[in-house]
Amino acid sequence: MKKVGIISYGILPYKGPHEMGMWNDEATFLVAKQALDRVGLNREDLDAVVISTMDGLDGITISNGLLVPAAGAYEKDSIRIETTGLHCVVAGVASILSDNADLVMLASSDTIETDFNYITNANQDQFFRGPLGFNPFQSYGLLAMDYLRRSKATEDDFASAASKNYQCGAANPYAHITAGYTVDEITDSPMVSWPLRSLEIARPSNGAAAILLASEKKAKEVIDNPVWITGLGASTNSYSGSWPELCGMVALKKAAQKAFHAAGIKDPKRDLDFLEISNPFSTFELIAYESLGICEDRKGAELLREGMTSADGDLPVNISGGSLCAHGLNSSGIYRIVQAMMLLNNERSDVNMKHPKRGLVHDSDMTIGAVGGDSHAILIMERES
Amino acid sequence: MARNVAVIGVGNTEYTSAKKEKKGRSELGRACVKSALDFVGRGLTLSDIDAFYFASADAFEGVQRPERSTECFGQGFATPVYSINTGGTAGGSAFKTAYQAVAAGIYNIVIVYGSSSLISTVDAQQILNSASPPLIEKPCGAGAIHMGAFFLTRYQEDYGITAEDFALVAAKSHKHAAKNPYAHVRKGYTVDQILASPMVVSPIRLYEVCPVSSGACCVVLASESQAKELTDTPVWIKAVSSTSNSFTVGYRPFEGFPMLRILAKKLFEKVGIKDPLEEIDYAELFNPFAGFEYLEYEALGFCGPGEGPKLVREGITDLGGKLPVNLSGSTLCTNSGVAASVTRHADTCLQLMGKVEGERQVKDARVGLAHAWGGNMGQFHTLAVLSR
Repeated sequence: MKKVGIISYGILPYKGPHEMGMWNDEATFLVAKQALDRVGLNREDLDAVVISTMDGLDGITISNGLLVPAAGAYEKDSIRIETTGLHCVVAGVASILSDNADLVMLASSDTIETDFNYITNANQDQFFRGPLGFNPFQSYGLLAMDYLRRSKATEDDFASAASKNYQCGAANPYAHITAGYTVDEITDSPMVSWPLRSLEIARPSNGAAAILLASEKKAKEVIDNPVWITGLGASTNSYSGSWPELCGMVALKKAAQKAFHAAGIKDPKRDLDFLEISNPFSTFELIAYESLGICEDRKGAELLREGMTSADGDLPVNISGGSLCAHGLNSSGIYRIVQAMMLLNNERSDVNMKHPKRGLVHDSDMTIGAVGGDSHAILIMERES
Repeated sequence: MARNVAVIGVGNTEYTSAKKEKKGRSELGRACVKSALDFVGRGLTLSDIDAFYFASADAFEGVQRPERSTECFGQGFATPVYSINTGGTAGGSAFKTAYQAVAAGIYNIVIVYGSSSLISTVDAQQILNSASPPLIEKPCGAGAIHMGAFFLTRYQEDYGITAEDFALVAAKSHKHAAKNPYAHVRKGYTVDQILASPMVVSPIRLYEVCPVSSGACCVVLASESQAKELTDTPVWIKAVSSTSNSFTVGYRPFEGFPMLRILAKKLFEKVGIKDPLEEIDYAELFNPFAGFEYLEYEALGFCGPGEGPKLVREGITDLGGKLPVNLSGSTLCTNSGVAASVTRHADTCLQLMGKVEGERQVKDARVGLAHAWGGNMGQFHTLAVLSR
């Protein structure tokens, strides 16, 4: 079986809205160029470009028209996939494994200010949820409420999960929120969508990220010790259905199973060294523990309390600070892959991990709303030595 | 080694005007996917589909990420849905990435779905305008038809192309659309009627512009082993790729489609086509404006510069000619937004399968070509070489 490597990355530090001072094509150009320069490659070396953004968040129709040339696609093959950054990775891997490319640029950016409530409401159906004014905050609240009801977790556990992310993000030079909020600060923040408080819901960040995918041969030519993609899985949740179906994270479980099978992972708790998951609200981290099989159903809060998933625990989750600290609505998937690469490359000197070999990255379009219609994808990244 | 991949089925809904459409997005989706599953038959069901590639441009649908609330793509089985948006080429882009995923062994059977895009928008032109560069072209009011007019005015001036030349190729599409049960405008307009139709944006007349249609189209792709079990008429995908131009357009001379020329050269080399006019048996080329067909003939090497009209006058690209083109009636007669770019692939496959209705079947067609065009000022082209 041929392999696909991730051989380089480009990233701009994530900031608040209005703070980037550039358009999305400029940001895309900067991260794409950085990724090529880091390994001494040129635009001419690229075979294809994949862009991960959504029109609504970019503020124009067919926004890839603006973005693909900035990522180096002039006269080259290109595509834009809106679902998630990891769905773009599947497309990049497919083009390499089907012998259509040796070097693929994946880029994504968030610098455009849009009306978040309007855009996210516009992805609901026009008959029921749309006119009700449904937005992501409410959908997160519904999932958190459901979790409170079916588990022994408390609102304090949610605050504790959020604080764990904020503490990690405080040390990450690329994170947007570095305030390191404590549990008390979080429980004192205003209630937004019960049971979630203001500091438990990720707010949009601006930034950009890019990675370079390469065939095995190309990867070994360019660098000594590439990070390999050993597992990938993607899946989509039903939009309408019963409450257990809407809250059951069926898609996340299926995506994980597929990725674990490909990577030969039998016990994720034992076989993984770290996880980087998309957690646009505090509770989702606990839900993800269960869906990914690192704890039993309804036991997410216990795992958190044991400290297993803390930065210094056996299986750190979101050393980057997660979505609460950097929440690029388009670029969250590529951003998290870059964060995982930094860990696998031992580039984060402040992080006390002993040469991690295998990490999991999760991405989801829950950034624009949950409780149905959301897609999830899982990527397993490994180093040989 | 990449696996062989075939198109094994085609699905369509009825086509009508977007303003007259009575069905919603999910109803059209269900009807279209069911028609493709029925086309394949042999017990193929929704649960057998490993992934859906949904092609659309969000704003065309009046919502963001329309597939999220379109419940007919196997979401009940947690089937992954990929949302592909590259504008007018989205169907070609989705076809490409779906093919690559099956060839790479990631999935076995997938469906590429072209969404019936424009049924929820109040004004498609305002949406298309927002795809233009925001400093100059957008405030000037550039819409889809202006993009067409730039190219065709230049073509007219460079080669002395006449109004009759444009009407001639439009009439070819209208003639065939009249016999296609899956075409929207089936009036069979003649050259005289086309020339008498009002000028919209010079040199493009009303019957030389595509309608805003409604209707969905999809194709089923399968790996070699599945394809052999599921059909006796697989159409093999030989090569698919795309090309991308710059976003800003001010400096462009609008001399034909040079990017398509480069893409075609690359693809034809890959599959060993030396003389496209001789070696290709059927082509579906994207022509929302009738005259585009000429620019495409020339970029694809069917003829020399300025010789497009000659091919039509001599019947070379009509039924019975050496290389019939657009016997579906083309995008000119049916353009349900992004679905039209999937339709180019679907109709080429139907010709190669020998399953075309309405006395439009090309005899013994073995090699086919499917093209799509889109993006700001035609920034993107996709091309697929298919073979029986």
